[in-house]
Amino acid sequence: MKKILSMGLLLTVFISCSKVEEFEKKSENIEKNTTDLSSKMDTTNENMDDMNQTMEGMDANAANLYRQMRQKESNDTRDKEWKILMDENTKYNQKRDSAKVYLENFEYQLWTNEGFDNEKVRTLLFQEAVDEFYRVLNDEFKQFKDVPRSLIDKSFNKNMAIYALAVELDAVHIDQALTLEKYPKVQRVSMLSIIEQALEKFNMGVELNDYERVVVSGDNEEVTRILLRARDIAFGNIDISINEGRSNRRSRRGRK
Amino acid sequence: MKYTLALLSILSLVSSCSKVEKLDKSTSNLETASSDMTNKMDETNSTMEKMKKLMKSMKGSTGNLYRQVRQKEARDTRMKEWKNIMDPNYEMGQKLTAAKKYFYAFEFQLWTAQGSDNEELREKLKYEAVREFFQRVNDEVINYIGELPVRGGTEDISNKDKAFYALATTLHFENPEQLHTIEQYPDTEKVTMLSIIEEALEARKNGFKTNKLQQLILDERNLETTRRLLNARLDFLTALGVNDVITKDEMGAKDMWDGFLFLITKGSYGSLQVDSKLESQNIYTQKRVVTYLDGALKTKEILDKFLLEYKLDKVLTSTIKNLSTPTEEGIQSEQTSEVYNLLDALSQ
Repeated sequence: MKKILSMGLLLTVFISCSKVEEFEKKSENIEKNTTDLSSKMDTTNENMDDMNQTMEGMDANAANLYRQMRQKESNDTRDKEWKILMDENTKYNQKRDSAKVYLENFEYQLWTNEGFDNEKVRTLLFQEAVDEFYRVLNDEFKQFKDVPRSLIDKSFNKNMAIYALAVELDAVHIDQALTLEKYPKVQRVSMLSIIEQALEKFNMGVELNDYERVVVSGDNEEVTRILLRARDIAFGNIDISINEGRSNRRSRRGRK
Repeated sequence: MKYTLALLSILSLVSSCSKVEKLDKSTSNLETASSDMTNKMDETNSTMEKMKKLMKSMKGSTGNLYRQVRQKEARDTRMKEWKNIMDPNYEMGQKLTAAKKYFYAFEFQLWTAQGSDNEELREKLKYEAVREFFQRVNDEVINYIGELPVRGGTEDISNKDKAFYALATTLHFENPEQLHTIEQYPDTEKVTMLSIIEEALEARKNGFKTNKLQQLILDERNLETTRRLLNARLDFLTALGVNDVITKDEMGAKDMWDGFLFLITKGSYGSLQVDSKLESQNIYTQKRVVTYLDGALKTKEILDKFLLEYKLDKVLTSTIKNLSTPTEEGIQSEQTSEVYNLLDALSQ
């Protein structure tokens, strides 16, 4: 019996030793594979880093292209639409259409609230828009002492143009609507809302910011008055007057 | 007892063997799996290597696309805005807007400090801008005479003079794109056509060695154009400020006659006697006047500093000198007082 037991034990030891050797070999292989894998993972990560940098470069290229094209294309559109608006052969409704597209193509309307489009940029774009709008308005409509009443004759081209602009002052680009949908906290802004806010603050004696100042500075004050008066007349709100001095100025919110 | 022990040993042996076999099998599987994974990682890396190359090529393409589109579109914008500046149907406000956009569209304004946009390229872009700008101004606005009839309004100035004034007045504008670049890379220097000109004048004044770009500005003809541009800038910014200060519609008969004489004799006889309406303007108009006159004074300081000959327009000088201003007690605000100080400084 003892012999049988000893033989059994010997056999166990023998089998165990060969199994352990096999295990050892396999473990070594696993260890080697894992080390290889880890080193290859390093290569993968390096590649990923490299790709990430390349993608950042691509992102910057795309962003630069977008930003600079937006500036250029919106400017081109405004120039083109302004020409159509002032063209003597363009009828009133076409003028309104052009006035709308013109006002929709100030860059602040295309601001996305994404990437480089932060609040500071938006404020800068408001300034650019108001400066440009009032400069061209001053050139074209400075001879007006009051709001023109006739729209029928071809010679009243400028009258039609100012009415078209006045009526479309609250135009908001579809892109701005999309931004508002995506970021509900973003404030909706049109040329009318800028003017209204400036006048409201002015009447309340609150300090205006740089772009709001443009609305009431020098000759622009008169241009604002004419523009809003034309809007009132166009919407039949002629009882609301703004031409009897500063104390009577009121902001208006009507829309067709 | 012995039998029981032997039996237990055998049982334990059999049981151990089956466990070891299971472990052996699972280790074999692990070995195969780790080997497979290593091979697959090789495939992943080889695919990533291909992707890396592809993305680098795409980055190169988008970089090239951006650069070349920028060059083309910027040039198109400058051509278009130049036409607008020169268009006789464009009034002063539109010309100023077009001139501002013209300066916005020089490529050095759109330079990003990223990718191929390095300092060397920026210098090249500045050179290209200066070369194009001075060639155009010299070619197309050569009949500039420098008269500025304030009281007649801008309608009385010839179209090319208006264009010249618009360009001179907007020399300092920087594209908002540049602000974006500076925000991202705060060490980046802000550059405008005016700052490029000032840098060249500074080098000339200090007798520094000038670079190719500065030599271009300091070339005899361009230096004269620079002098005229700065003089026109001084005149026009002053005129913009004065325009908001004077009462144009309430001149007495004598004032009218004196003013008329003054204008037709280009300042040899008569004088412009006008009242200040500054006190009746709102605070924002007053602040705007301060901004214009401050810009004019800074231009005057540049002309003085770099010893460039200039003269504030006679009509403007006379208007400022003969401006009826309120007594010290009558001056109501900080702004109005600042305006009168600036006007004094400008007329000296």
